[in-house]
Amino acid sequence: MSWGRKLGLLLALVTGSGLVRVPLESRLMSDLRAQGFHPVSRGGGLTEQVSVQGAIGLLGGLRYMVAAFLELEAFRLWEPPPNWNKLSETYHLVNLLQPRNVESWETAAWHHIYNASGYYRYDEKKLPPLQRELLAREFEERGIGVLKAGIQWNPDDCGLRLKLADAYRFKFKDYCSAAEVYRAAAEIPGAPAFCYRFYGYSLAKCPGKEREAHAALMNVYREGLEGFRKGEPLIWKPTLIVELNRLERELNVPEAERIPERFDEASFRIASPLFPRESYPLYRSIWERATQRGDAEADPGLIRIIRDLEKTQAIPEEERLPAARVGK
Amino acid sequence: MNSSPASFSAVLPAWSFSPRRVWVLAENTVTQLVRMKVFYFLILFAVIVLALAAAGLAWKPLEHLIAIKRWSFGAMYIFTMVYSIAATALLLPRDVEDRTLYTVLSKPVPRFEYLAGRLLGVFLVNAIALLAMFAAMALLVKLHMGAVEADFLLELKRSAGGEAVSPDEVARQLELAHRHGVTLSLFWGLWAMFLKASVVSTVTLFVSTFASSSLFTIVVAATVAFLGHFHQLAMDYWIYEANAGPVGKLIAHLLVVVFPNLSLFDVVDEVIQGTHLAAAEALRMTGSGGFYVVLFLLLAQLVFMDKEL
Repeated sequence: MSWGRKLGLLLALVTGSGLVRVPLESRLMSDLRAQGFHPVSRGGGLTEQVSVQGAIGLLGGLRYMVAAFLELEAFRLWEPPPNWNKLSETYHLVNLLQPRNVESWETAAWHHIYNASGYYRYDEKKLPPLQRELLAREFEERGIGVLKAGIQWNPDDCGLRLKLADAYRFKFKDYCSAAEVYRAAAEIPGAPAFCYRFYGYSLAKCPGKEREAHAALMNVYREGLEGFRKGEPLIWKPTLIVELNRLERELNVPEAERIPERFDEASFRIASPLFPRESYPLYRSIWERATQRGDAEADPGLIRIIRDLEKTQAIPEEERLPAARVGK
Repeated sequence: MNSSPASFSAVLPAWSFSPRRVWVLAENTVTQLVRMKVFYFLILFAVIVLALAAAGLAWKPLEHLIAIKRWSFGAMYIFTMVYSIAATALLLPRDVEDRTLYTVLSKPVPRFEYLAGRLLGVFLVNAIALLAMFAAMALLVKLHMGAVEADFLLELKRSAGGEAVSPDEVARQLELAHRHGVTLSLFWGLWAMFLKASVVSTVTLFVSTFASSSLFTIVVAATVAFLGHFHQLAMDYWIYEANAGPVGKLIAHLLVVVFPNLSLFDVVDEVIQGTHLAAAEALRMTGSGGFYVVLFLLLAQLVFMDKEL
């Protein structure tokens, strides 16, 4: 066979097979992407996506190894004296190379939000205080940006949202933002149930959201009650009861719709008609302290609960709350 | 000398393909490659893995586990790519140099069988080395899984911040931890790496059938392997992107149609992070790999069938 014919046949084979395989490969690639392979950002711009895809293409199958080298480099940069800017750039590269690695997004954010900001706020002594504070805030903002970018790459991951919400809640005391992120985390299929509870607790501290917070915390309350009736351990925490009691007062919820539970700060226990025998002394103790403070009137339901328990539990007369003290 | 092998190939009917002859040639290739001490790389691999196991960095258990998998797969990748290109590129010139090629083709062995046998030998050595490295890595991963499970449960408790955690949530957390262990997906990751190496080997063999030197073969094959990783980028951003110019689109179309899509086999990074790869997709990937191997083997045969030796 002549070289000309051979070359023609060769080109025909390559082109023909190419035209056959490209649609099949595209379909396979889409299916792989649907399973979490060959990541495509859902929020990044075209430039960012081309950068990521370019880096992935350039390094072929070696990107995870290069990322590992860079992470080791970042580890060195963290050691005293730390170079936070370089560390920030290094983690940017690490995350560019392996955007589906949740751990590295979390570590990068942790360095920015807690370590770098803490360093500038408390350890750095050479710079003027104002500049230190500005640098600390800049790194905190960068850290929040890192977590948000990580969430865009990993929209199905609950952990990154929890880290972002925790940062808003505990570090920045921004309860409204925290509640929003906790709610988004709770909506992820398979997310732990406590995400929704944290949403409620955070929303309770968000000004202007009292009604939504009350509804969310009542859901948690009912969830706990149902679980308890099925024989599961009670999930109520003191925060739930304290916040619900507060919101009921603020929202003027009718007496009959209020929850009967109270939190006894002295014994750090929840008083509930679900445990009438153990709870009676707790209710009494709460009432005593409220009376001493002079704000027993603020909780008119309390005395009714005490009286109900005295009747249902057949509390001896001498152990009951004297009517004279209640003023009725 | 020049005409006899070609005449043998020509007189043999097409249905005389003998898997046995191909196997004998493959065995011979394995022996030849083993004598070239390719398995010495396994010692280096063992050192890397042992160093990782003993690494005293302040890693969390999961980070440590991922690092073990990353470095192990990275070492495997370097081995397979370098080996696939270098060993295959040297096969034909070496056979010509020590005149084995003439001895083989002077027997009633069709040229296609010669190429297939040599290629199978390269695949076998690659498979043995990869399996040995995978076994070492899997052992280390298994040893670390206890610490990872404990850390996952601790993390759940920490995230819960004192809130109650249901047995279902604990079970789910353990299931998440197990995704990082030795799973079928991890094996599919290894398989994808083997498939990619096999495609690169076959491309190299094809190039070596018309190349003037081994160096030329290595450079061309490495370039094809490199460009093969930009396949998806070309598809995603140049072909489907409305703003791309006509020249960009033409180059992208050429890249997509002519070069093998090697990025298709890049699943290891996600598998290392615990992403599950379904068997159906792994089998489709196998189909794609097989398609490339058959295609480039046929192309190699087309060039090699009546080549003057």
